[in-house]
Amino acid sequence: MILHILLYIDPGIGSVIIQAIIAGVLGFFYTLKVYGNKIKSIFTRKKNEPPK
Amino acid sequence: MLRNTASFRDSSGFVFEDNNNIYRWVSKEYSKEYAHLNSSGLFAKLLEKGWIVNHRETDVKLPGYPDPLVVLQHDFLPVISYPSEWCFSQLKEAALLTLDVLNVSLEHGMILKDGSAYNVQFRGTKPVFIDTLSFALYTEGQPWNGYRQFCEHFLAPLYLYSKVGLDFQPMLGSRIEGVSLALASKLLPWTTLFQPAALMHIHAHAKAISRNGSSERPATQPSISKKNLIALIDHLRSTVSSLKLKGLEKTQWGDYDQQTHYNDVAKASKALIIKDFTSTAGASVIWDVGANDGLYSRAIASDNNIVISMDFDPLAVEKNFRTNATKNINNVYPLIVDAVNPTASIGWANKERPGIALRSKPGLIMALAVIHHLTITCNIPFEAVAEYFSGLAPWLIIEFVPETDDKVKVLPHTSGKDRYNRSNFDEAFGKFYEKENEIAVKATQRSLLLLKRKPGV
Repeated sequence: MILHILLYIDPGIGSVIIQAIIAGVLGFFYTLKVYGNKIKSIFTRKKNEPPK
Repeated sequence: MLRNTASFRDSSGFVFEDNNNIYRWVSKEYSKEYAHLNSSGLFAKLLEKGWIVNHRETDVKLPGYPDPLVVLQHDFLPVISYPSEWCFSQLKEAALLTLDVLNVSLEHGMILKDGSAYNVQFRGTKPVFIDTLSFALYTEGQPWNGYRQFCEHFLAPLYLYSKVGLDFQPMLGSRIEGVSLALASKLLPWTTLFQPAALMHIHAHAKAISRNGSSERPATQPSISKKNLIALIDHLRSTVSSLKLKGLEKTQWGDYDQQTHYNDVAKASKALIIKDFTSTAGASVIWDVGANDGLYSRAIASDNNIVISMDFDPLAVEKNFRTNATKNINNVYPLIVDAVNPTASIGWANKERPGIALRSKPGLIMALAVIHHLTITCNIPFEAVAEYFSGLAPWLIIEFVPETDDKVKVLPHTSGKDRYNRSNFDEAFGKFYEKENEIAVKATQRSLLLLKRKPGV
């Protein structure tokens, strides 16, 4: 990403790099959780469905 | 009209003050952001949630400055306090508010430029965001430039207090940038290396900063998707939420009120007298010096005044804050201020964040069960105490604790103790004050005095 805004504070290069890594890791787990919940909800719904 | 001494780093605008009127000059360079803040509904949303201080556009002129985009007049906040004066819960509340404001900003296509604890003030017990110019336009892929600052201003001090029991106030009171992550990483126990939040946001973060400290600025920077950025903010929020303060009940003074020989009759008598004295003084801002958990601050607080309830003990202030939050008391402001070492001015030119006495002008000082500590334990002569208090406010409520009192007997035998008696007290305070009233506290040997500053002092 090209830097085009004037900074108000120094974010620190190291801090931005680690932020990208941490956000990537957390984003990955977040996605896993979302999909995990979706899959879980399919099974839970099935379980709770009234017998036909 | 005075320009605020803390308002100069951001070229988007600055704050100036005229008595209790707070204005913000907004630069034309901020026009796109200002338009988006309003048109996106972000400002309205923040206002609706009570998360941002309100403003209205005015036609106030500022001679000598370029034409502004707009001049805003902000709602007046009766107390300006700093993170070094906050207890654990206050810093935690301010941290959560910052993350909430950031989250809502992203929903509206904006992002915070910074992550500073100085962007937050308290309105009663509720934190409120005060920097209207902190909002920048967000473009997909952009990192949060305030991440490091947030970790230094909020996360590291909260972690240190929570995991090591280290009071963060002295560190924040001397270093305007907060607690450096390198220091926090060294001070935290090695077991925190196995806690994902501490490992990522403090230990690895500190390492990354030191490794890249002298690197050349790259032309490009890593891109962070909005989804990942939101995951980061969510994680910071759940981390801050989970941090707890240990040992609240073990404070040296936290249970002072229960330990003292003051019984209910004496307490009720004391509360009645100070209420009466307070209404005579009629001050709108009161400093309760050595307030402990704020019991007597709450007794004198009314619709016509606000009480800054100061104590040096972070846990007593914590208790004070929690009590006020539970009881929804909004005219008592608990702050960590040591009477013998009040918050000093720090930052650029020592003016950026002024000391407590430059920020608040009390009309009345209340010093209950304090004088024997100042004079005997800290060895500060009566006259120095009288001179300092009379320089701060025209009225003083002071409790005289006689030398025969158990609380005085147990104090160390300093030279101050030799001089500690009622006639020396009267002589020293008589140089600066006239006595308006004196009433003995029932069931004790103590008495409460209402003193008025002499004309010309």
